[in-house]
Amino acid sequence: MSNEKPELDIEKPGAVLQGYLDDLLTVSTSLNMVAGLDYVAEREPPASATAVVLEPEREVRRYQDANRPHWAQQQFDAIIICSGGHHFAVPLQELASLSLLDEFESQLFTETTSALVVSERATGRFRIAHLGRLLLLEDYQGAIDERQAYLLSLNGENWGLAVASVSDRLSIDPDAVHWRMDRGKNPWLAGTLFESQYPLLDLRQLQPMLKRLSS
Amino acid sequence: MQVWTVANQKGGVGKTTTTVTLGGILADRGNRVLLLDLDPQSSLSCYFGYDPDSLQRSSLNLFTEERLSSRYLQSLIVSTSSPNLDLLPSSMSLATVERSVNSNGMGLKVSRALTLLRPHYDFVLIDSPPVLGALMINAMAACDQLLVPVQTEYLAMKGTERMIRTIAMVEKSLGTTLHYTLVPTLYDRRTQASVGTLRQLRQAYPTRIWPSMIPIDTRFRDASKAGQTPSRYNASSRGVRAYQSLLKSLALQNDQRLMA
Repeated sequence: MSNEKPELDIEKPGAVLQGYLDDLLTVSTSLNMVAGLDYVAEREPPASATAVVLEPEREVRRYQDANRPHWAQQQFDAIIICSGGHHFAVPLQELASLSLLDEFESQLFTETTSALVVSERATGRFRIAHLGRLLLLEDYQGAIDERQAYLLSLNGENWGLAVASVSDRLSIDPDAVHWRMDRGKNPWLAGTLFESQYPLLDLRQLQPMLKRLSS
Repeated sequence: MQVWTVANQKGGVGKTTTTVTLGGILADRGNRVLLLDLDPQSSLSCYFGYDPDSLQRSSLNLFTEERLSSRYLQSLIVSTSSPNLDLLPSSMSLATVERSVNSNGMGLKVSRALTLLRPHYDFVLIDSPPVLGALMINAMAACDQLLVPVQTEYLAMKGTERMIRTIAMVEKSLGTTLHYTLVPTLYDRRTQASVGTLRQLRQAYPTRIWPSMIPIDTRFRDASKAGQTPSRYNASSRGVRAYQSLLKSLALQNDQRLMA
């Protein structure tokens, strides 16, 4: 007679069952290389994940200007994203993660012309805004079948932004931005990059727009 | 859209009757209601006259189809004898889901599919199998409200304990709270078993149990034979009146939750 334990831990059926349930109800995370970026998390990263938000090692030069967002008081990193045929610069410091948009969630946007969809996730309801539709409204030029492939998630928020592509990562000197002194009708527009003329987004200012859409 | 799941690991407790009756009453009130049969035994589908062996498409397709769309889901849905009440039927082959499930996140398939139907229905009621497995977990993970019918008989206490343990484990995996209500069913006031068990259930789960009960009512069987919802078959039967009372209680709970 062998005293070896069987592979399945039958002494802890509760633990085995809990593991089974965890597998069923948890979406896996894995990391994939994406051109131009360090890493992109596939599906939902853990809340604490900061896959692409890497602190650059460089000499910090401070720019004190009350009209600029807190993340623009010194040199900052941004990614260039595209949605609805337009490019935008998004400061990395505001992002919790950049992930591949779940295929199912991406498809939700082909089911509707709305700028906002609600996805049921294991962690609760998660609102995803289609950036092109949200910002450009009637000027939205994106092809109807433009697939939103990436999800920008914000620190501590239960909503994110769906975008079609991510093309570049830049280190931006605040002096290379034409900062808007009066945000006016577009509070989300922090300024414009001198060289490329890409709009620079202030993501926190999108929240009231999302609230209006949700209500 | 609200999703209600009717589940218990024990069979014969009145899950299908609860699903059909509540769905029927909600539809009678003008709500657009979808009944989703996730039980391979297909009792709910058979109730409305569908043969689970001959259906080309069924709730199995929720698990096998890789690219679900709203239009595709609607092609799986069939009508019932009641206006406003639709059915996504089951088939025997649904049992194969348990064998094929091995990937992460498989328990969220139904939840995600139902998101696509959000604009089309006010309520989705899910009838789940009496087995703890991927199908029941999908049904539980998708719901806003979990109803646990408990037969008022001697073996109920043990089964209820087991079900509540399962709910706690699902909550842990989901990282969220499930709103569940125990619904005493098949109550026969003439028997000691019913009276005694109901008393025990109320003592053991005072905050979770619906304070009233669903009585035994032969009209449920008659309605089933006629393929009609109990409320359309006989709106004034005591069984239907009990389920109407349950709906009132659930509406009150929902209001309290929203105000909290």
